[in-house]
Amino acid sequence: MTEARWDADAAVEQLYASHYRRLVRLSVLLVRDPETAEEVVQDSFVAMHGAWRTLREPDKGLAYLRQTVVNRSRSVLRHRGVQSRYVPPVVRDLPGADEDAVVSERRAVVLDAMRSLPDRQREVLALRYYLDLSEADIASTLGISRGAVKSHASRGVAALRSLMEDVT
Amino acid sequence: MNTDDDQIRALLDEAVSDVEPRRSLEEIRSRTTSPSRSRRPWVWGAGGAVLATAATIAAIVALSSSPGTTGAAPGPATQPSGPTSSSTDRPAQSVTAYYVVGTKRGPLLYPESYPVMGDAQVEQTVERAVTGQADDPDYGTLWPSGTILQKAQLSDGVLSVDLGGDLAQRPAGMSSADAELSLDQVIRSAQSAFRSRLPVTFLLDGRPTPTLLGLETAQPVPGSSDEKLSPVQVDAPSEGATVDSPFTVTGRASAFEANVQWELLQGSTVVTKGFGTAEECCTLSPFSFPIPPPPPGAYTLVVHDEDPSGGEGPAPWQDTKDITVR
Repeated sequence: MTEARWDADAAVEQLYASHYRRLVRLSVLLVRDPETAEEVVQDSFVAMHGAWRTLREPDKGLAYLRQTVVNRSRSVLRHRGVQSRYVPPVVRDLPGADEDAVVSERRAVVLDAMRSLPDRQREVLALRYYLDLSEADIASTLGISRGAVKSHASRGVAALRSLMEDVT
Repeated sequence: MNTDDDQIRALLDEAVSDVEPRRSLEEIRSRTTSPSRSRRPWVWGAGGAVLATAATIAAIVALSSSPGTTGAAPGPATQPSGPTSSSTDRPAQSVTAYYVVGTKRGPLLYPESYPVMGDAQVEQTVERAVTGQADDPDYGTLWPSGTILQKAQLSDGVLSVDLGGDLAQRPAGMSSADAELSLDQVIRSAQSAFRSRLPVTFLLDGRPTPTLLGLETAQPVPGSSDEKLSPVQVDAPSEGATVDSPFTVTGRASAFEANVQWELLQGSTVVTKGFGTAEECCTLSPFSFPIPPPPPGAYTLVVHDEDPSGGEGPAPWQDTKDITVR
């Protein structure tokens, strides 16, 4: 990736255009609240702009954004003291419930379940299954070993499954 | 890849498929305004979609596949600074994780320090120690692969470290000395991270554990004496650092007659060398000495205690850092 030589402003614009929405959605999987997620991602873009001098390449900028979004999502959960309290989903078996209602219920269950996981499990699952990152990329994004990525992933999958028995 | 994976993938995808963030490029721009900026006008499309040419989009690596990003990006892991986070992040400080390094006289602990801006990074210091994620490639861990940190915290006067893995018994091949060193590694790292001298309460998957790596952990475990620490430790410059010339080397050493020697190597060639002294002899005490300006370039800095063989043999205790002098 050496063909593009953007300045910091151009980097923000280009990465915003191609990745902003996806990064916000990633953050929603981590913090649940969409407004908080938007703040986290905006802050991350501002930080990336400041660090562009040391990044200079689009893929490094993107890796920086991913890492910053994950770190800030984690920080924000702590500082806001929004404790995850898993509330089992109300099982609705209403005849005639339309598709939309079913989907939105399932969304809530999945997001609640994600929030109730330990930080690292939640982060590994989001990076692995939402961004489809490789084990090596997850390890470098989170600053942990590949062995730890594996452990968090298998624990996270098991935990998520047991939390979502009703919808899977 | 299997159906289980596909199902989770589909569920996560669906869970956020209705999230449509409001456009905020202008807001981001207003926070990154630099005086010299020439930019073509940005065009907003209907419905808030950003119009960008296919060519510029194609120049950007896809989010889901990022070859070449496995190296740690500089910055965000340790320096997540940003204007809006100042109210929640604590001021910059430094914390130290300890790592195991094999030496000719057996494994010892070496420290590596990091700037820390927020709570998440404090806990990450302990995680780095457990998983051996040091910047210095010589540094590692003896904790079994796959060991994870569930949580580390200082709460209600209890400093606790919660680990995950098959860790109650000592793994085959690990000596009890190695196990003690591993516990000590985590204790020292947690004490540095949380700025506490409390003994560490170890948990395994959230529950108290009578043993960890085969050692007694029913009660909180205090750190051991300094004898397991490397007698020569370089704090600055750090591994991979770029320094201005001239620069100063700082660290701690427990050296005969307090003499500390150093060399700057390029490959195996000694470009320049010299010596300094620690504040006290024969016990771990600070040293700090200036390095006369070398030509700009990449070097390996080697700091060691006095070489009894007079330069013929390898130094007994040392710490090395790969650095760039500009």
